[in-house]
Amino acid sequence: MIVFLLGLFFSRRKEPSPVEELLSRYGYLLERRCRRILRDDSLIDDAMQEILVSMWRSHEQYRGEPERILGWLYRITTNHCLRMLSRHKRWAETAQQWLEEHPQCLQSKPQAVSAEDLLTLEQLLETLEEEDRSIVLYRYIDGMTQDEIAKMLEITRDRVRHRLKKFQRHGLLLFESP
Amino acid sequence: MTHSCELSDYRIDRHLLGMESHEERHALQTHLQQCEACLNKVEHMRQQQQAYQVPKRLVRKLEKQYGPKSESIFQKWFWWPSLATATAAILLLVANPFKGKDHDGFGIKGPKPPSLWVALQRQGKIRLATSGERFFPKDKIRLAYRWKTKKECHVFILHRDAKRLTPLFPETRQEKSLRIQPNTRVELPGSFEMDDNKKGYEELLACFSQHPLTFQQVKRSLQPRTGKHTPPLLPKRTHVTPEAQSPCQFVLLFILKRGN
Repeated sequence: MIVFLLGLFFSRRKEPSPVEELLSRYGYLLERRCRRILRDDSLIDDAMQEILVSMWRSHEQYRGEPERILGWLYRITTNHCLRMLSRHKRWAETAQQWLEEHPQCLQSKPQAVSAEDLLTLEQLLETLEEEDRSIVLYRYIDGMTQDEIAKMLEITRDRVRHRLKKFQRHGLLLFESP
Repeated sequence: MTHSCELSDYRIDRHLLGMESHEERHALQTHLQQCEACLNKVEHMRQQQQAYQVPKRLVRKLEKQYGPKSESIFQKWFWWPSLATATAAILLLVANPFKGKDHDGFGIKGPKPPSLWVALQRQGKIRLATSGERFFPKDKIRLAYRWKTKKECHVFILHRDAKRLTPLFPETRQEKSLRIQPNTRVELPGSFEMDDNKKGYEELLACFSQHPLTFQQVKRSLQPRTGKHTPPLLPKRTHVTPEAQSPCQFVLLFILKRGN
C-alpha cells in the first residue's frame, strides 16, 4: 500500500503533461504572437488560457510532427487572438497600431494615417471572413511570404494569392468610395 | 532590416527550433552576415525563447478542468501490479484468516504475545518507561503485564546483569512461576529502587508459559543469552522472543541502561 501511494505521489510529480512539454518548447512564440496581435496584457492572459484549452483538445493530432505543430500553434494563436479582438471590439486601437507599424498594409495610402483610414480599415477587417483575416495578418503584419502562409495553413499558394488580391481590391474600393 | 528582407517571425521560429532544411539554414546564415537588423531580431527572439518560463500553475489548473480523461493514472499499465498488491493487502487485513487461532490450533501466526509495562517514578513524576532508556539512582520502577489468552498461564520475572540472574517474581529460586489471571492487566506488588550507581546494561526478563516452571527451567531456556553478557540491541519497548524449544512460550525483554 505504501509503495503504491509513494508511486502515485512521485509519478504525479515527475511526468510533465504533453501540453506542458509543448509549452516548454513553443510557449515563447505563443506569448509573443498574443502580444503582437492583442497589445493588451489583460487580453493576453485570457487568450493564453483559451489557447491552452485548444492545445489540450487537439494536441494528439499533431504528436510527432514538429513542422505541423508549429503551423498548428500559429493558427490557433492567431484565430483566438482575432476572435478576442472581435469579441472585445478592440479593432480600432489595434488597427491603428498595426497601421503605424506596417503602413504597407494599405498600398493605396502610403502616407500618414488619418482617422478616416482607421475607420475604413476597421470596417474592412470586420467584414472579412476568418481565414481571409488571418491571411492578411500573416502577410502584412507578420511579413510572411505567400509560400510560408500556404505551408502553414495547409492550403495552396494560389488560394493565398487569390485571398490577398481580394483584400486589396476590397480595400481600394472602400478607400476610393466618396 | 528592410521589408524586402522578408524575414518573418515564422521563418526565424523555424530557424530557432531547428526545423529548416540545410539549404534554408545556409541561406539564412548568409543573410544574417550581411544584415545587422535581421541578426539583432534573431538574437532578440532567441533571448525571448531562452527566458520563457512555463506558467505551471495555469497549466495544472487547466489540466484538471480540460485534460483528457484518458490520461488517468489508472490507465497506465504499470499501476496495475501495485494496485493488485494493495488490494490483496487490504483484503488480508480485513479478512485476517489467522484471527482466533490459538497456539494449539491450526494457524501460522499463533497467540498474541503478552505485554509488559514498566512505570518509572522520577522526582515525583510517574510515566511509562521505554526499553533502552537511561535509569539513574533514586529512580523507582513498577511492573505490570497482561496476556490475552484463554488458557491457564504463568509468569516468571527475572533481573539479569553482567554477573547473575536474579528472580524477582517469585522472589526465591525454589518457587515455581506464578499463576496469573488471563486477559487481565496485573500490577505486581511493590516497586524497585535504583539504589546503586552501576554502569552498563541490565535486563528485566519475563517468561510466560502455560505450565508452572522452576527457576532452573527458566534459566536453562535463557541459557544462550547468559553465557556472555553483551550489550543488547535496543528495542523500542519490549522485545518479544518466542523460544521455539524452550518451556517459555514468550520471553519479554526490557533493557535498563544504567549510569550517565
